[in-house]
Order: sequence, then C-alpha cells, then structure tokens
Amino acid sequence: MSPEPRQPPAAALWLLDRLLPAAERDLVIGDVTEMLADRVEAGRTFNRAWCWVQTAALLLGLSASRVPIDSAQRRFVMRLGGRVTMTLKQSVRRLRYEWRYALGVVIILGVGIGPATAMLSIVQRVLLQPLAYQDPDRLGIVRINLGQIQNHPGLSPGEVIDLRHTQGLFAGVEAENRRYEVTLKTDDALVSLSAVSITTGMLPMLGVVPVLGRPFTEGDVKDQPQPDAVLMDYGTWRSRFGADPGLVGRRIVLNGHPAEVVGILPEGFRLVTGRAVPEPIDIYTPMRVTSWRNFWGFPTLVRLAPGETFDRVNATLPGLATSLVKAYPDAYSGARLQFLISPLKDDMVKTTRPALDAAIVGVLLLLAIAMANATALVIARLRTRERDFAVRLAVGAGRGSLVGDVFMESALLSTCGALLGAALGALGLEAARRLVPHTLPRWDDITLGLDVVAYAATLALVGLFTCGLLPLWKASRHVPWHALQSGSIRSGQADSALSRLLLAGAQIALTVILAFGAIQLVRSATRLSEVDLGFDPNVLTFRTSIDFQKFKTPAESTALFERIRDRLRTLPGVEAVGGISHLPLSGSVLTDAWTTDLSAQPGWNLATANYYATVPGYFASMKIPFLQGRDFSDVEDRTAQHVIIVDESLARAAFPGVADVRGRIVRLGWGLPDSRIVGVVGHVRGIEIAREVRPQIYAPMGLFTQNPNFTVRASGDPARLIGPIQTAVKELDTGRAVAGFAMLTDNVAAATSTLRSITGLVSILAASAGLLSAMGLYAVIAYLLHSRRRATAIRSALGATPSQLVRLHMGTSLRVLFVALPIGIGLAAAGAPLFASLVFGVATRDPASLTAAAAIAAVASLAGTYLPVRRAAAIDPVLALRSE
Amino acid sequence: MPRPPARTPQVPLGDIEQRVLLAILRLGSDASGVPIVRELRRHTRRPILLPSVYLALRRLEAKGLLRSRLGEPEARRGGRARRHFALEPAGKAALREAHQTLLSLWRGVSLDES
Repeated sequence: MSPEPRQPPAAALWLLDRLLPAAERDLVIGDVTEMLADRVEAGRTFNRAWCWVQTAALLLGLSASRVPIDSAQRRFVMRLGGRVTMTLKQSVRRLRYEWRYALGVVIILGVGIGPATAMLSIVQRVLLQPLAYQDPDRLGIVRINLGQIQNHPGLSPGEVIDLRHTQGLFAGVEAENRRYEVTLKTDDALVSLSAVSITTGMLPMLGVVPVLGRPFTEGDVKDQPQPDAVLMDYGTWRSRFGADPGLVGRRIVLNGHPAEVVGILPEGFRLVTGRAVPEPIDIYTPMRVTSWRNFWGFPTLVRLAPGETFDRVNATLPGLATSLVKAYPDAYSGARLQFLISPLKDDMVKTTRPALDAAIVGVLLLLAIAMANATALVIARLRTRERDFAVRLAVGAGRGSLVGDVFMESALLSTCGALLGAALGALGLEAARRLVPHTLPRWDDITLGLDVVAYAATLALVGLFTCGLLPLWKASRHVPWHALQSGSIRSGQADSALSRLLLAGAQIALTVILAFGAIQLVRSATRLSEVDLGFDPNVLTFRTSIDFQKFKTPAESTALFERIRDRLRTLPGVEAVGGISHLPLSGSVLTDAWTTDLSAQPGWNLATANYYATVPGYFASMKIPFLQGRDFSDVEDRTAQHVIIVDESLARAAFPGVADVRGRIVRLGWGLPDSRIVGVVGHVRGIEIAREVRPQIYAPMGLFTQNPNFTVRASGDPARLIGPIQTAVKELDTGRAVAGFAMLTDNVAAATSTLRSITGLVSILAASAGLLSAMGLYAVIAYLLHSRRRATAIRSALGATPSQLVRLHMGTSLRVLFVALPIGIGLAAAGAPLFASLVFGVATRDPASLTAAAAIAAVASLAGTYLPVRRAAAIDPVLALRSE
Repeated sequence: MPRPPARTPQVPLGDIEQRVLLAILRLGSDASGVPIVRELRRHTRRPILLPSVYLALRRLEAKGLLRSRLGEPEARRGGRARRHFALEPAGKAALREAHQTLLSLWRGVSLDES
C-alpha cells in the first residue's frame, strides 16, 4: 500500500484552486492541508478518501453559493440546473424503458472504441512519443553501404573520427561497441552481465545524467581490455545490489579485475543500438575510438549541429565518402562507400511501421463500421420517436428543449460506450502484452491509464456527434403536423430506408476489407511456420565466455571448448553438442567476402557470405544435413587447418554445374587464408525466416577464435540440464560465468512474432467487424420489416406461407449484398499492395482470400437478416392489423 | 480603510454563526481556520462540516461582525497563508444580544417542572 499522503491529491488541489472564490482559497486549501497533516501525524488512515470527501463538500458548499442569493444570474443557473437534471432523469427513464436499444448502441460503440483505444495506445507509445533523450528529434543513427554490404548499422572507428572532423555538420558523433558479456564475481558465485562500451561523450550527447555519481570523463578510458570505471543500469543496481547508494565509488570485480562503479543511470534508460528493440544492458564501460579501419562493428549516433537538417547532412556526406575511399585504398579497395543518417526514432520503428499501419487501418475501418452502425440504429429509432416529438412541439415545447433531449441521450450513450470501450481496451492491451512480449520497440513502456481513457473520451465525443447531431438535424427540420398526420403506414418512407440500407451496405463492404486482411495475414503466418528452416530448433543454447588472458592461444581456447563439449556429452539425456559463434536468427552475424578467383584481391566488391566459427559437432546437434563431405575433425579445429564447410547455395554460386565441390579452394577476406572445402551442408535460414539472406561459410573455431554459443540437443526436458551444465562448465574452470540459457525455438518464435501479433490483432478486428455488421444488418432489417408489417400481415392473411415470406424479405438483404460485396472486394484488392510487405507466401491479391472474405461478410450479413425475417414471417395477421 | 460603522444587526445570529463567534472569542489571538474548527468539535457532539464553518465566517465578515487579516505563508499549510479572525465591536454586541435574548427566554423556565 502506498504511504499516507502529506499533501492533498494534486487533482483535488487543482479543483479547489480553480473553483473556490479567490478570497477564500488560501484559507480553505491551507486549512485542508493542515488538517491532513494533523490526521497523518495522529496516525489516521483513509486520508486520501477524506481529502476527496472534503473537496467535494467544499466545492458543493462554497462554490455553489458563490452567486449572491437574489441575483437573476442565480435564478438562471438554478433553472438551467433544474432543466439539465430533468432532462437527465427523462433520458435515463427513456433509455431504461428502451433498454434493448440502449444496450445495442453501447455495445456497438464499446466494441468499436475498445480495440481502437488499445491500438492507439500502442501507436502513441511506439510511433509518436519522443525518445527519452534530450531533444531526440535532432539525434540520428549512421548506417553505411559498403560494396555488397547494405544498410549496415556499424562503422569502423576511423570513420567515427572522420565524421567528427566534418565541419559544422554535427554537434556530436558518438559510438558504442556491440554488446558483450562480463562476469561479475560475487561472494559465492559468478554472474554473467551484459555490457556495452560507449564513448565518453555518448551520455552527454543524449542528455542523460546519472541519478547517482558522475558521468564518464576522458580519464576513465584506459588502453587495456578491462575497464577501470563503469556506469550501472538502474534496474541492475536495484536487483543485484539492493539499490545500495554506497555502491557508487566502490569497486566490483568484473572479469577478474576490479572496476569502480562511478555512477547509476536513470531508471528506464536504454541505449539504442541500431536494432528495433533496445536490449537491456547491465554495465556501461568507457571506450575511445581509434583510427582503425578494419572492423565495421560500432553503431554510431549523431546529434545534428544547430540549424542543420538530415537532408542537408545526407547531401554533404557523399563528398566525404568519396575522399575516404581514395585516401584508404587498402581499407575500401575502391568499393562504393555511402553514409546514411536517419532520425533515430524513424530507424527504430522502421521494421514495425508497416505492421502498425495495417493495424491502424484495421482499427479505423472497425471504428467506421461501429459509427455507421450506431448511427443507423439511432436514426431508425428517431423515426419511431417522430410522433413523440411532434406531439411535444404541438403542445408548445421549445425546439431547444428537444435538442437538449437528444443531446443528453447521446451523451449518456456515448459515455457508457466509452467506459465499456476503455474497459475492453484495457483488457485487450493486457492480453496483447501477455501474448506478444518484447516484439515492438519500447514495448515495456506501453502502459494503460489515463491516456486510454482520454482516447475513449475523445472517441466517445465522435460518437456523440455522429449519434446526436445527425438525427438532431433530421428531427429539427421536420414539420410537426406532418408526423402527426401520418400513421405508422407512412413511417417506412423510402428515403430513410435507403439511407439505412446504404449504411448497412457500407458496413458489409468494410467487413470484406477487414476479413480479407485477416485471412491474408493468417495464411502468411501459416506459410511462415511451414518454412523449412534448414535446422531443427529444439536445442538448448547458452553462451560461454572465457578468460582470454588465461587461454592465450587459439589452440588453448579451442581445446577448452572441446573439453566443455565432451563433458556435456556425458550428461544424461544429452544426444549431441556443438558450438557456433553466432546462432541462427539471433540477430547478429559476421559477414565476409569470398571468391573462387585465387588471383583476386579480397575487397568490398566481392560477394559476401555469413561467416560462422564452429566447434565440431555443431551440424549434428542442429540436425543440419550434410549434402557432401563431413564435419571438421577435432584435429583440424585445434591446429587451425585451412578448411571450410559451405552451404548448398554457396556451392551452387561458386561452382555452377560442379557435382562434387570437395577439395575446391575458396579465397576469403579479412586476412583469412585460402581454404579448402571439406563439406557441403543445407542452407540455414539464419537471418530471416522468409527468405535466404547470403550464402554461408563455416570455419573451425581454431581459425577465428570467439566466444561460442553451445548447442545441446537432449531428450526430455532441457530445462533440467541447466544446473548440471553450469556445474560442468564451472568444473572446467573457464573463469567466466555461462549465461543466456534459452531454447533456439525462442529465436524462431521471436522472428515470427511481429507477424503473429499483427495477425492476432487484425483477426480480432475482423471478427469484431463481422459481428458488428451482422448486428447492424439485424437492426436495419428488423426495423424495415416492422414498418412493413401491415403489408406482411395482408400477404399472410391472403394465404402466403411463412417460407414464401422469408424468401420475399431475404431479397432485400441479397440486393444489398450484390452491391456491397463487389465494392468491398474492389476496395480490398485496391488497398492490398500497400501492405504487401506483411504478406508472405500468398499473392498480394489472392483470389481465394478475396472470395473467402466476401463469403464471411455474406454469411455474417445473412445471419443478421435471417433472424428478424423468421420472426416477421411468423406474424399473426389479426394481431398485426388490429394494432394499426 | 475606514471600518464600516458598527450597527445593530438586523437579523439575529444563526446557531452556527453564534458558535463560530464564541469559538473566536474563546481562542482570542489564536483564532484561525483550523483552531476554530477544532474548538467547535471539542464543544459539540454533532459533526462539524467544514463548508458550514466557512459559510458562517463569510456571512459574519460580510455583516461586519468580524474582521480578518492574513498571516505569513506556512509550510505546514502547503505554502498557504493563515488567516486570523477577530471580533468587531458589532460582533461582540451581537453575541451579547443573543446571550441576553436567551437568558431572558430562559428566565422563569424550568425543564424539570414542565
């Protein structure tokens, strides 16, 4: 429970401040504050509630009697108040009497508003809200195109310095290193933490100041691999160190070396790393950029200089790129270099934008359906109230009071609709959060609260206007005696029937569009789940890092990896173990150039492939099939033989028409030796599930030593292996903690989650749309039939059978369908290319999907028609005619 | 500013007005919002509603029966100034009259006998 407040709630203070007479504000507010302090000191509870009761009493008591007693103003206020109360009472009474109608409108509005509020909350957070940095619109991220590499979010350190030296373009150019693992030594255990190195100017450029301690200074940067000074994430400080303020200035042991915690970063701080979702980082370390130009692994953020724009900066940079390529022929080998700077926020939401756009369109369509629906209901009912209005006008009621009547009723209905919508939206958002964790940028930040209610209120206002003002206009232009004269025979006039049928038709057309979108997405998701990944993701993976001070040579570290692998193989239930530098679908990979032309200079103009270092046994553990040849032997691994394994697409591209590529030599970039192919494996969908991205080259770990991810295939529940694995690795004394236990299936799920989440959302929208348009048609048809009941009764009296009557009346619906379905199909087909990037494995305008969507809309509308028609057909002619 | 002339009140004091004036009289120089409410609570069994106290103060001041002055802002009051109340001679006169009225009404009456 929250502690008892010392101050009245801010909202209460605000109200008192605005509504009390100026002369009494200090007296009253001060007294309430003082009494609250007395109550808190006396240990009394429910103080917040007490504040609100007092506020309400004071506002009612003091501001109501603000007006001098005998003034005409006060009489006016009283009369107006009386009239409002009376209108309110009348409206409530009438809506209670016609509760089916009221409930219908409220549900329709709620179902329309609910998904809209949830979706708008997400969009607002993800797309519209500024990043939590100072002046975020001036921040940009640098991507480069270099030869075959496109849109890469990492620079070489030399280029960071080059950008800094440009005159007047940037107020700051700061870089970060890729995330890495550090091992924190606590009293009894080794704990793996994630870390990122940043240049010392990064946080000042972002405008982020530590909540405790100090930011980095140049003096913190040491030319050694182990940092002396670190900044800590707020969450890590809380969870690992119990939010101990004494931690600042103290030394902790990272990777076996002491490092001083110089500061704690603000709560919720995340560093953008060129990925859609900023990863949580525990430790930030300072780094300095060098003039090296051999590794493009430093995501770089810039702040534009005052007065500069992204367009102008991007127009200036080609000159720099050209001069760099000339100045450093070794680094760029004459390849085309291009810097692209885009606003940070645009870069973050780039990948999710089409999905969110699709969802917004869906929400707007649903909202349009709901509004059309509610309007149709209100118009239908207003007709039945025509006589009521006419009578009241005839006996002298002012037009204003009728306007007030309609207004009050609409306000009541839309408020209830908004409340229901807010509740549904809250539920929806909570459900969405549980179903789809961490797939959207800033997903953690998406919260429900006042903003959703505000959205609901705004949307309800839209509801108010459509529901209230349109019928109002219809009612007020009516001539009273006209309605009085006309009996119910005239009430089914052609013009209103037509307008309602038009509304119903529009709903059917919109339903077709939504259903089409949902069907396309569901089919895409299904296709995506059926893609052959090229590996079996049912493996347990974990990361290891080793102390490279202790295992200095590649031979030593490679031998250690093999020992770990062999030790894990002996664990019960383990079937196969291997290791690889970058796991498939993990989002990170190394690329390298390759060629079969052994006279070529390796450079950026060569074709590129994904380059992986493996611990022998990897292919077996992943069930990646060998098409030719074999896996590396341990000896090849340890002695760093110049051997590689390639995937089928590289074999095809490098040696077209050659059946057996074993023994062929491939030249690699990065100063790696020319290597002999010993095996060919199947292609693995390692970057995207939907398509092949670059061919793949595998090398033994000994040739290019890195910290591996181990892949463990086991029978039974893999989770029970975590403990034994930790013990086993610890026994082998790597000096570092193991981390990141996960199933590879999680990577697969994450890679499809955006599509899956959007599919779920659009399906819900389409289902709501189908339901709403069925309800809408039901209401319209029921009303039409009611107004024609005299004709129906006469037919029935003359001997028409119920089935003949059903056929007769279904005709109306069918005619609407005949017009609405082709329009809906046309609109869906026209809009489909806009969302082509979301669709996978299905034609953009797939005829089967269009047909199915039309069928769904048709079934929904016929269901909506059939029920009232059945009831009308079962009419008792005597009763119906007598009521005329 | 010239004070409004003391005058005999046209309308007799209401019950709550009379109590508020008495509370201010009892408190002397300490008479301000919260102490007045506290004083009233101490001597009354019925709950005291804040708005009725403020309305009474407002009416009494309008009738010229009491005066008020603003004190310094106080942290305990959320930075709001305290307002001190004191009786005007007319206020004392009104109280006296009310007291007299009650005394003369009570004279010769005994609840035990009736």
